[in-house]
Amino acid sequence: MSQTVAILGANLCGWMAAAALARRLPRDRYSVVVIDDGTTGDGLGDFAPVIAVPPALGGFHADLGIEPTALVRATGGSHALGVAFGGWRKDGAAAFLSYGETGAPLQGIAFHQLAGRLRKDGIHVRLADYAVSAVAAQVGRFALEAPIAHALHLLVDPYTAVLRAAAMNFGASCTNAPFADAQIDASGIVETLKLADGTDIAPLLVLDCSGSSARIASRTAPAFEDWSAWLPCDRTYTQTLPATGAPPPYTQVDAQGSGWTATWPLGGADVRLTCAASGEGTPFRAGRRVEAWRGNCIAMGAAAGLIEPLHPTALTVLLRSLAQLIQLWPAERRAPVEAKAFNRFTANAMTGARDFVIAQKAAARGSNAIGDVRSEPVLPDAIEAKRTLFAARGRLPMFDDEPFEEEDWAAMFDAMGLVPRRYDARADALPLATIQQHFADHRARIIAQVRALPPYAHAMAELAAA
Amino acid sequence: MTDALRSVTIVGGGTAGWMAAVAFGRLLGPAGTRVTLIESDDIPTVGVGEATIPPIRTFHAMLGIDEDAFLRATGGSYKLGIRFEGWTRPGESYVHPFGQIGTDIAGVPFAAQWLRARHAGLAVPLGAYSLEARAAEAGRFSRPIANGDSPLSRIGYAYHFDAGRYAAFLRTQSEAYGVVRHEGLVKRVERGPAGIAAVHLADGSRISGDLFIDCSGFRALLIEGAMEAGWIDWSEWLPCDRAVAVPSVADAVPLPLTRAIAERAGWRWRIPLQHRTGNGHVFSSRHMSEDEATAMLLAGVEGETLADPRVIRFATGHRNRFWSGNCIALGLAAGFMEPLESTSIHLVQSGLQHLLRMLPVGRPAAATVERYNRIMTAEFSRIRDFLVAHYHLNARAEPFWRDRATAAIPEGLAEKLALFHAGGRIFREADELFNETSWLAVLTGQNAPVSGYDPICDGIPIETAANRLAQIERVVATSLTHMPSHAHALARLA
Repeated sequence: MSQTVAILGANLCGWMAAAALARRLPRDRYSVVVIDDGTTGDGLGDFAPVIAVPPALGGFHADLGIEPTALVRATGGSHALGVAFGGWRKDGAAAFLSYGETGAPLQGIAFHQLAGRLRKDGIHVRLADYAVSAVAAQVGRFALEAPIAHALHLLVDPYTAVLRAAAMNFGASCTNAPFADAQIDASGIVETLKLADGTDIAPLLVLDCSGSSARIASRTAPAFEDWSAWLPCDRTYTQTLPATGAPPPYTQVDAQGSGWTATWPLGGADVRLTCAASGEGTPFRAGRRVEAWRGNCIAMGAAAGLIEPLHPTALTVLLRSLAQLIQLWPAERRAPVEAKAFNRFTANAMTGARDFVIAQKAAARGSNAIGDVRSEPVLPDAIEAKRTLFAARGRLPMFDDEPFEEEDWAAMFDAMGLVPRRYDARADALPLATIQQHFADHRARIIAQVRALPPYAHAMAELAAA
Repeated sequence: MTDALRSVTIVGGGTAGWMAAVAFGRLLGPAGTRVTLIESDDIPTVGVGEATIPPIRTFHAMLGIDEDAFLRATGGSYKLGIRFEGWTRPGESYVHPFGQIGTDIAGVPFAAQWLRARHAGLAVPLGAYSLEARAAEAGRFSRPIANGDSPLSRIGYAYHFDAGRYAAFLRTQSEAYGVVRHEGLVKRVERGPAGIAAVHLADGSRISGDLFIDCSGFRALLIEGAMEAGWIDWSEWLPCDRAVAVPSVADAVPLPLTRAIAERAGWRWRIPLQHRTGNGHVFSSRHMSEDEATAMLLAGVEGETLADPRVIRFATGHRNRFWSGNCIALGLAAGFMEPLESTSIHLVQSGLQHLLRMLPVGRPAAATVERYNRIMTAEFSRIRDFLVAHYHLNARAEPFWRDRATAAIPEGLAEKLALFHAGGRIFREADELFNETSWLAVLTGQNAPVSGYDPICDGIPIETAANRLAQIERVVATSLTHMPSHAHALARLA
């Protein structure tokens, strides 16, 4: 007989999990069943009616047969080539972090190291000028089929509906009645899930996608690691403002006191999310569940952990956790070895996502203002190591399972104004003229590529007419 | 022969025989026609399926049968559709629901808009838009409730029942209309100018008739034995030729659906009744022995069995002439197709209804007989095409299923699949039993290939269509909460 994998939370998180599992698990052996947890959130923190979907999800969508143009159209979405940061740097300069690649290495030497070599000779280099996404974003150009890495801004409800359709088309189902209660034995095994109509489900595994309330994981694995010392923002609120004209193809994030305000442009409206350390808003708590997988319950999304949505890492971490779960798929309800491996992975992934945000805020505060750190908490070691080594020689020690790549870190530090004092000595092995030529060629290619693109407004009009 | 139809003689007293008896008794009895049914307690009847489709309700209405009394007498349960399990590949299933699915969207059929939205990844599987499909799987049932445009107002349903008890129930009804049951074995058939003059029984009695209805089952005593009507063999299209059946204990909570579970070289049925569960395994004897098929059936039965498994051998096909001279064959004597879509009893009913519209005045006119035979041949052929579609569209790996996927298919089905492939269009033939909704459920359930969608859909933006679909889905979900459990509906009968 087939075994039931129960997913608690008929929301974005739950249906994404259902789609991933239904796509991968053999249908004759497992039935994937989604149970409404009775709440209306998205299971990922409920920050806004819009969610930024990073480029990493492109492959996932393709695997489910979801076509990107149809997805944007169906969800009233738009495209984002990167994030413009306003008011973050002490020098007041705007900064742009793109979703695509920045520059290209030369003879195995990283691009930002080559930039360091040029800067030593007084040549002004802005890394974002060498990222096609950043340049296209600045001039407001984009084509739907352009091979440029980009994120999507999607309305949560229709995006959930698309994933739900995909999940159900791959054989997942949803129960007729919402969740009522769970019977959990002394060792933390969820024996039975009781539904409001009296139905009982005896699950092999339960994926708790019920958001911060973590309706089952809070009982099976209550220990929670609090991150508010480093991430003091604890409330958010959203505003939807009417906007005319074509939206710009990027996200804008402006610093606001100790927090920030993100503007996600959609056709016809801007959705603004403000994240702050006090004042108005819906509260949230930054941190993570110490054991995401305990017994046969696996917390996913906000039930597993939560950080302020400065970068779209929630979906990346969710997707990678699902991939891990499928790799570690257990044969029985009790799988302590698999659980341990999974927990190590999610701890690394979530901490990595957290560290990027902490490091960005620290870099923004600390640039050109060394020493003014009296009231600040000691940064986690991993961040301190990255910051110190980057500041010294542009090096970035990387740890297991981090959601950001070395090049993302380099681009972020650079964007926040943290300039390495020296560069990789190997860059001296190349003649200065060769490096300059490499930069000029790369810039010329980018400009040619961007010139060929239509204005983003045309792309959106084409989408509407498709 | 004079103008009046003075006597109808029915040979065989299974489901078909008693269905004919009650129909003739009720409709012709008052006119003075003598209706006689000959059956022998020595000949066991083969229950031609215990699951039915909604037209049976029309038949019962015509005969003035009270639904509650009928369900009580036959241990019957309600049926909202059939769940096909593993027909595409192991683990996958879909429901072919009764009733209508969705409503037109902006003047365009639901099916077209749903296929378009599905093409764009904006639609969930078809079952979510069908109240009958949802209720069947959730174990809920209600007769239609007058409730405006709600799907609750037009719930399509049929029954499962015990065929043996059904024959007994119909016998009681028939006898009330004056039908005479004659116990005895047919020894000899006496030919006459009209075709058959009389049948001679073992006890020496001779029973004549103006019209003879052959309900003698696979033996086809009159239509083949005397009239040599000929047989059209369809084993090329539907190669299963055996079934093994066994009853088991009743489910505590019976679902209002028939299950058809694909197996290595055939499929199993599961039919929940009030007092027991019918189980069977239809298979191809070229691919599997009877012992093996029996073992697979018993392995699949949930709960204790109530009797020894019984093997039924059959040939798929039909009489070349259903009506020959003054003899009309009904039931197994007329033809047989495996009960994959619960059509056996319907074919008896359909034959009877057409016959009642064409009752001969004096000696049957050649034109009448020809028309009847043409209609019944078409009815059988279209059902055959529908059944072949289930087998043809599979992605299973076993040799039997690979053969089915690659074997030639009837022309009518090839045309249906080609039309569906080109834009998802489905056309119902005149008088075809299965309508567009049934074909849609089965073609999409079996993953029939489709390219693009009907351009008529583009009259409204896809977002609007997707919203309407979501709304239909919500209405279905809400309606479902208004339906009591199937067990509750059955308890009400007691």
